[in-house]
Amino acid sequence: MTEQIRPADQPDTEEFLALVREYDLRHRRLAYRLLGDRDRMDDVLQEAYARAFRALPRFRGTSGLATWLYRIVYNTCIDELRRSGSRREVSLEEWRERGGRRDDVEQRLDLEAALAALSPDLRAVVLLVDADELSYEEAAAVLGIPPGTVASRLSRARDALKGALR
Amino acid sequence: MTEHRDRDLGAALRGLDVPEHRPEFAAELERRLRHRRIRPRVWALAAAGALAAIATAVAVLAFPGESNVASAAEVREAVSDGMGSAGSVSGVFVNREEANAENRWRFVVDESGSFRIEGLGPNNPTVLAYDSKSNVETWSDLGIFTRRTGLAPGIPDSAPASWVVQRGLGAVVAALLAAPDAAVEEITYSGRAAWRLRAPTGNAGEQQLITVDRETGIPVRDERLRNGRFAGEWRIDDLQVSSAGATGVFRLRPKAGRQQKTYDMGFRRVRPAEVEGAAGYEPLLPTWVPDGYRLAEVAVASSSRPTGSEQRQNPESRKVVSLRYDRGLDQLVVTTRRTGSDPSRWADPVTGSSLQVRQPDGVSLAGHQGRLVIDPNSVPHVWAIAGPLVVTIAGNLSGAELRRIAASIQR
Repeated sequence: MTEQIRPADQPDTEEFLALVREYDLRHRRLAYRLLGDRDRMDDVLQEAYARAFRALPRFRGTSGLATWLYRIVYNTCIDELRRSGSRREVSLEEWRERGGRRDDVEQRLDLEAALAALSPDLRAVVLLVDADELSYEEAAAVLGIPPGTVASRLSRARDALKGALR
Repeated sequence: MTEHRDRDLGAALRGLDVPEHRPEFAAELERRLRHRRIRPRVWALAAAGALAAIATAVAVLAFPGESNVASAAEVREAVSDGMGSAGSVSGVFVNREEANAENRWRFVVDESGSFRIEGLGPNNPTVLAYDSKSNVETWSDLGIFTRRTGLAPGIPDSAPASWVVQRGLGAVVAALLAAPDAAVEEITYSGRAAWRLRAPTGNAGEQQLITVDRETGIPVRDERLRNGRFAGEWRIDDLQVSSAGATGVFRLRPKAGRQQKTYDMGFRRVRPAEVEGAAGYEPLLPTWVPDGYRLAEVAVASSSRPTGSEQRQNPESRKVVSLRYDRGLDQLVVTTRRTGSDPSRWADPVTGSSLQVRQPDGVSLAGHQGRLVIDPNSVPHVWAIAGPLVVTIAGNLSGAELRRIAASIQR
């Protein structure tokens, strides 16, 4: 993960918003794939960014700022899944029906469906490591698990997604 | 550990559609952040904190073996910020004493002071709610419906009984203040990064293990050990912290046929300019409060229940003026009341005289000698006999902050 971002000398709203903009695509990818809905994604990211803004004074630099922000986004997504009681896996068929279309981008739809069928834990790890190219150490810091668990979850997630890429 | 990245899978995942934000997202976020920025204390800390973060990161790189664990004072600061910036906190409050079964309550508390606490399980039928707007507390338990009106803004008078804030979160803050040298360790609690502090309770052979959620700064567990063995705990499960206020039902309605009781606690909300007319004396007011605290409520009672403990009650409180300042979930309450003809009859209005608290320190208040009490068994406070008035200042503040408020008190 790039480590260009550091807390500014005089942190203010503009600087925080600039930080958010730089990482927003990754956060949207993670939140949308975990929550499966744009409105929920937006609500959760609003909450996560507000939490991070409040918590910035307590950021202690034990991880990179980007990793720290990622972790807040992930925790807020998990809080939302727990709160709404929707921490369930979506079946392949259900996801296809929800998407409502079968077009010529078969592989992409298959991958979306296979990803949605994973548990949030597995979904998150493969998005962080393979899509966003975090190291195992960084992904472990975001998810709050040991690096060894990252490796084992990653292996299971890749196995489950393999069929969708053929 | 060998790291492997599946580049084909990564590219395919990055190729999946990711929705843009709704059009108003950026404006909403900016508004929300700017709203927070009006709290100068937090922003002074933000600037200092950001600089400290850089310094810490550099220090960690330069001295990898050096401990980076927060101090008890830093944890207390984090709790203060967490409590001060939370718009609402909800979850399940769990209480257990030694080998007894757990009692569980679902709760939500709001920065306006409203709350709702609902017993869970067939043997816990209590439902308690307080609506800050109407200043009415309603309580349903074992077939009896109780309504309390005219409640005081806060301690030491008859205030709304939020167990979660007063007995839970507030008690932890008091413990943290009383144990500035507590040992801190970093742990994972319910899958989240947390601090755990170990401190004496003040009772022989007893220790307290306090767990604080690092991200939100909210205390989530307070466990007591007696002679090294579990003696009791409270904890919060399913913690939810939001910067927005809570929505919910904060006023219960009695079911038909249920026995009802109503009590008026005697306080009436007034505007600051009306205090002198309502109380019959020129009130003593602080001219300084910590940054972020705002005057939220002023109330006067011509008489109210005696303060103190059950064992040692003070004289009836007469002509009470109570001011409450809020900062998120934190509260600071300043009260004055007539001493009556014999000031020597008064003991500490917050704790009474029977509760064993550490020896209070002396403090100056409006030219009189007061007492500063920082003890894990009580909300941190100052009290004094100032001529014809008894004065109290109570809140989750440090001794230095309470001293400064006391020093600023004047007519």
